[in-house]
Amino acid sequence: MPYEVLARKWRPQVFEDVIGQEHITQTLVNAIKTGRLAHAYIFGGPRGVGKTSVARIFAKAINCAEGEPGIPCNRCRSCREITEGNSVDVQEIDGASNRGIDEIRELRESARYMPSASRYRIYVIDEVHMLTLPAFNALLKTLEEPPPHVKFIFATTESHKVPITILSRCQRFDFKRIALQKIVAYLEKISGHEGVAIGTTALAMIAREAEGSMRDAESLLDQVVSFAGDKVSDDQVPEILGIIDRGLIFESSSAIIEGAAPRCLAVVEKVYSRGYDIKEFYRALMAQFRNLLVSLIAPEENLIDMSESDRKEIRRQAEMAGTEKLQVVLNFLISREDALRFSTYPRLVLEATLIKLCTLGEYLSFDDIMKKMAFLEKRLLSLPPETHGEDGKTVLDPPINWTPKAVLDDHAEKPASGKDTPPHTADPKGTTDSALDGEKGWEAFLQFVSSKSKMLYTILKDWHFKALTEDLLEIANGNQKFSSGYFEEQDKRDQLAEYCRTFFKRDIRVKITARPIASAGEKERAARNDKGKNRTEASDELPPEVRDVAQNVLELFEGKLINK
Amino acid sequence: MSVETTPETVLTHLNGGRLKPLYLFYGPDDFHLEKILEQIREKAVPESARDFNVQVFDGEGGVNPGHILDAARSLPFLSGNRLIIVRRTDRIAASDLEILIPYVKSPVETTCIIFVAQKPDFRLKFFSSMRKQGHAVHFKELTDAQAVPWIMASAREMGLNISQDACRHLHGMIGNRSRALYTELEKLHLRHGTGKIGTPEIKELSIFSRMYTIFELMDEISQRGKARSLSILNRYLEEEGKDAAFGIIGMLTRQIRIIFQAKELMSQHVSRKDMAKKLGVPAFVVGKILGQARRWQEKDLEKALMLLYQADGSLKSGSQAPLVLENFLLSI
Repeated sequence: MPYEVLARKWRPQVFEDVIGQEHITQTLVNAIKTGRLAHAYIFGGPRGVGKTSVARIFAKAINCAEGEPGIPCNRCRSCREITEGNSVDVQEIDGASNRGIDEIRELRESARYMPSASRYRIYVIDEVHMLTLPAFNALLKTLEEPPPHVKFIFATTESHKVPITILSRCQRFDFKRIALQKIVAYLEKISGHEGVAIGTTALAMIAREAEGSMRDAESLLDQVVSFAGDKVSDDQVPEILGIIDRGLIFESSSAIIEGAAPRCLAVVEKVYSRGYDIKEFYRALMAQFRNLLVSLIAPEENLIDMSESDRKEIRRQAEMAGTEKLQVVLNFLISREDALRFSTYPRLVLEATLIKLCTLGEYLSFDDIMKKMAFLEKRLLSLPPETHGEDGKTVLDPPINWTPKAVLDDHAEKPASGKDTPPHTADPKGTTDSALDGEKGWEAFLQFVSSKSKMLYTILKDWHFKALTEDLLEIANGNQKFSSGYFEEQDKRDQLAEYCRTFFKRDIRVKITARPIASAGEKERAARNDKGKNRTEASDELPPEVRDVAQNVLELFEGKLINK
Repeated sequence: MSVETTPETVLTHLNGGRLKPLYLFYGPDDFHLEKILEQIREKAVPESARDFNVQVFDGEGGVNPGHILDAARSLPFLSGNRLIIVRRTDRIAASDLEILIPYVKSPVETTCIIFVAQKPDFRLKFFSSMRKQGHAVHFKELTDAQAVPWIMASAREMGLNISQDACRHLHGMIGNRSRALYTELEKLHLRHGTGKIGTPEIKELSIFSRMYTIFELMDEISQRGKARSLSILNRYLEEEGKDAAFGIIGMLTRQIRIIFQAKELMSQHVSRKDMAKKLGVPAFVVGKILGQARRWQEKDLEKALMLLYQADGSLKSGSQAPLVLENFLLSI
């Protein structure tokens, strides 16, 4: 007997065998049982999910004289003829090759005759969206005045290409892609019957490649079995299907998170020597960082297709990196994909990208750079004019003492320092002392925050420190619109409180107060440096609120305040 | 002054055995139209005599008006009435239709001709004279106010045990198209029988859920529910395949533009009805859009548009669709 491919051998013959489409099969069975059959059905959905199979089973079920209602017996003449494809009353037409009006006219002619031996004359038109518009119009007439003995079943992968006039006259069912677990379970059943020893991990890899299509999954299983024989090990599957070894992906993500560039280079070497496609590897790496990020943001939503052990490792790595860093890495990877794809030396680009990612901790995102620039600009403007032109340190020296010099210095030096030294420079034992109250405590706290979240650090730098006591931290909002509104959201306040608790090792209430009046003076100084003296001379005499508005007007129109 | 007959009046004529010799059925609600046509077919001519006394013409293939007149002037056989249905009358040439006008003025009493047209041109003599003589029957689409009660009534007629919430959900998904609503109800009935039907059952079976998904997605995005929005996106891509990504970008962009416009109109205190017209959306969607508009700041909308623009660029240069979309959701 000639070999029959798995997809054909295991094609479902009763509704029960159809996987993942219970919402449709159950409805159809009930329709047969209650005798409420529509005259036309349209089955839409992606390839390999069971549209044509369900159409055939349905045709058998409504014409079968022996089986129970809704269950074809697969033994009677009608059932056998349909299975073999030579039934007179059930015609399967390929819409792609019989797409013209002539073929449909022919169909309409034949539809007028009563079925020869069965209850209904059934036309199954596969790929119905391929029909021409005149052919659809011809079909529409039959659908509008359908002979009672005729049933139409249309199957298509592209329902949207079928005219709405046809769609509205059919009972429409949309087939879904089949869930990974269901494909794995079915493949397990098949391999068991076929006497093939293959593990769940290997089957999961096959199922993932099939992207929800059972036929694809079965074909891939066929491919694997014909290469590896009756015993398939987990290592063989990636090799046969050209899937990249997960171990390498985990190794590279872990190296990137830890900032270990040499390990990254070693991984690239392995990828290259094993003959993997570099672009494919890059894609897998992007998917890995996506998984890392998703595992932190939506752990409950079951959005990661992985074994339990892989999931644990993902979670471990993700927690080590933190959301912010993962987001930056993923953004970076996506933005660099083009460079890799169009490069003549993808390996070089991959190496360069990975090395850059390892040192990414020292780089700020574009937003951060913009914020930092705005911050520096503000700092420069707030200095008295005579300090300009001094050495950099003097310029960065805070004229008012709320921003600690230590932090700024630390920040300036940072790009030079290696990633391997953790940014958390503060000694936990020394700094969490309750003696660290007041300004010093605030400075150390800022330093601590900088190691935890660059974003929050940048924001907090823009805030004014007011007081720090045993159980209260009082800060006033800064001048920047963005940073001053940052703590309006509860979760941001909670995050700050949490950092306080971790750092000071006690519960500290964070009190947020309005900007101190002093900052208005600061603004004045800035204005003086920026636009000249004219504005401040006048504004001294005005109340602070009016002064602010007046300054904004002057700034906008580059004008001058004329005293009355 | 033309007087239009309502579909209900036609039913009264039918039930009283006083069908008029001429009708022009037209309008967008082809479901209701076909239902009434079916009832007329059933009741006007007894089943045993239907083969001789019911004739159907189709305007599409170039029908000869002489044939229609011949059929109309024939006497009924083994029945008191003849029934002639002329489908797609609006496709018949104006000159051919004019041949029928004398018949319209003095029709044969034993024959009932029903002209069916989706969009008749009332500037043509034939259609205008039909309307003037009160033969035109307009099948209007359900209004928003009628839709939910109609769904409830149809469901009850079928024997469905459906909650009011589920009806509203179905209406939200499908809109006012009665044929689509009825088909979905029928499917629900086949699937669940007399069992209780709530929103999840509708989501499972309805083919229109995909369009609705974009609303859900936007809702989640505007509520900053990252986990849920990721989950909705993945479910959608799983069902539709990766090719759906462009569609999602398109639909999200459209949605954001609509929210932008709605915000603007809100500030001008425009009524909901006018808003629906200006935004080009069905009236029942406006409430939802306004809810979203309240949750979005203008600067966030601008940022979202910019991110969508970038995502579109990445997709078109061949990046992995799910990844790009997920990254968009996480960055927004």
